[in-house]
Amino acid sequence: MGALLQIAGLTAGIDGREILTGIDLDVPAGEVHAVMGPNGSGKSTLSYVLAGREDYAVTGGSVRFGGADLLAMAPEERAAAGLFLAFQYPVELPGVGNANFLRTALNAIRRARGEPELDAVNFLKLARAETKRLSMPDDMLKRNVNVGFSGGEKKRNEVLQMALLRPRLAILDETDSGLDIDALKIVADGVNAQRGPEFAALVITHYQRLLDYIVPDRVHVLIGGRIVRSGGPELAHELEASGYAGLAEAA
Amino acid sequence: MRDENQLHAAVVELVAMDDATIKYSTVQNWYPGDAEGRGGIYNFVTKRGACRGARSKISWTQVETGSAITWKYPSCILQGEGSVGEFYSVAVTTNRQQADTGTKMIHIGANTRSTIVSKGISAGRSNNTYRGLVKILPKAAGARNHTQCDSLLIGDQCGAHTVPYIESRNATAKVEHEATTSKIAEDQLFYCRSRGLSQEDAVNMIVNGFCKEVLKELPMEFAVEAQKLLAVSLEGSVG
Repeated sequence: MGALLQIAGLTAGIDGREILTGIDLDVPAGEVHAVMGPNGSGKSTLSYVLAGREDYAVTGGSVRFGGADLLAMAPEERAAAGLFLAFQYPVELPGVGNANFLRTALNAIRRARGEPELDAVNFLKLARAETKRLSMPDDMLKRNVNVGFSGGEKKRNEVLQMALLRPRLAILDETDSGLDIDALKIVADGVNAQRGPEFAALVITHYQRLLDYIVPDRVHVLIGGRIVRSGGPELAHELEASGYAGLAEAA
Repeated sequence: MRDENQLHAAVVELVAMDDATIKYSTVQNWYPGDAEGRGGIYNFVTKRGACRGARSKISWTQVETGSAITWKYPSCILQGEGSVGEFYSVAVTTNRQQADTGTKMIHIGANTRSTIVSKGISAGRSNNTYRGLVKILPKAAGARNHTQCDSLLIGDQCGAHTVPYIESRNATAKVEHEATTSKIAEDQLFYCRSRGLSQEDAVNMIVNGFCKEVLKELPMEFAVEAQKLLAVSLEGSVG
């Protein structure tokens, strides 16, 4: 069987403007890949297209996830199949309790996978263990989803969701943006704790900094809507030293 | 038969004497007519309460999901010194429904207080209006009112209207009115769906969150029913 995620010749855009101009990328199960690129290179578009945001139009190419046609699936089907997007800007849901949201999401996914649903008591046990691991205060479960959360708390809440939903592939869309170094370490620990043969991640970032803590197996450079170079973790350091300018010319 | 309209015209009167509290909760689900607005109940209801005694309190809570046309303004006449009036309302309209609902808080006695929380949800081609009166009479020294009206729009063919009437004849009274109008945002729906919730579950979750301040005022059994009713009423209104 091929890689867990197989992207071939993917082109996509928004409002008639093409942003992804031909992405080819494979992420095998158990591996962490980083996608780096300057602003406007298509990083967030790639994450939204993979998660199924409807305002982005796919104009060509294919994406297979665990052998299935990912692009034919609704966002909630992608989640049930094991895809998770950690949002760059997590959305606020006024009046919706975080614990209630998390339990509803977890049970929707468990139902879709044919697993029994968790009752409130067992869910809280699980959620409290995870919040503790992520150094989150217990009251984050009681508060409304992302309402009044600091930037760091929102990102930790994304990692909490990831830890509970146990995806096969997590896409982290600039999860490091707006984080101080302590929060960054907590988030990285949360991701590293998931690493194993059943977990893959696509870490999308502008900076090398996050990759000091989540060491990727492969690094891809995205410029002008396509991957212009791929390499090992050393490529990230090279970019940190020389910037994207040289690669942009090569593209 | 069902093409015709029926009238529901109830009258409820409450009187609270010294230190008494009355809480009156309604969940209304009359036939709203078909998708084109044929048939349905005209729900024209008189509800009024008198807080006659000192420190008495009347609290109205309503969840309105049914009827072709609703006109309903449960009121409180705050006569007793330090008496309290409350009005908590959720009104949902879909298809061609019209709801015009709100309250009247008439402050007569000194140090009387009132709270109004109204949540209107409009979908389809419906119209949802909050219409409310806050009246402070000359002897109502130290009277206070806080009003909050929030409207949630689903789709682009529905209407939300807020019509507050405020009359204050006492300079020591404090009257506050806050109103918001929002649309269920695509990014909220997408966020929920990317966590595995179906489109309908996502809408329910967002709507229930929007109404939470009112639903928590209902007795427990009612609150559960009301949540289910909201879900049924809004079925298929998005996408």
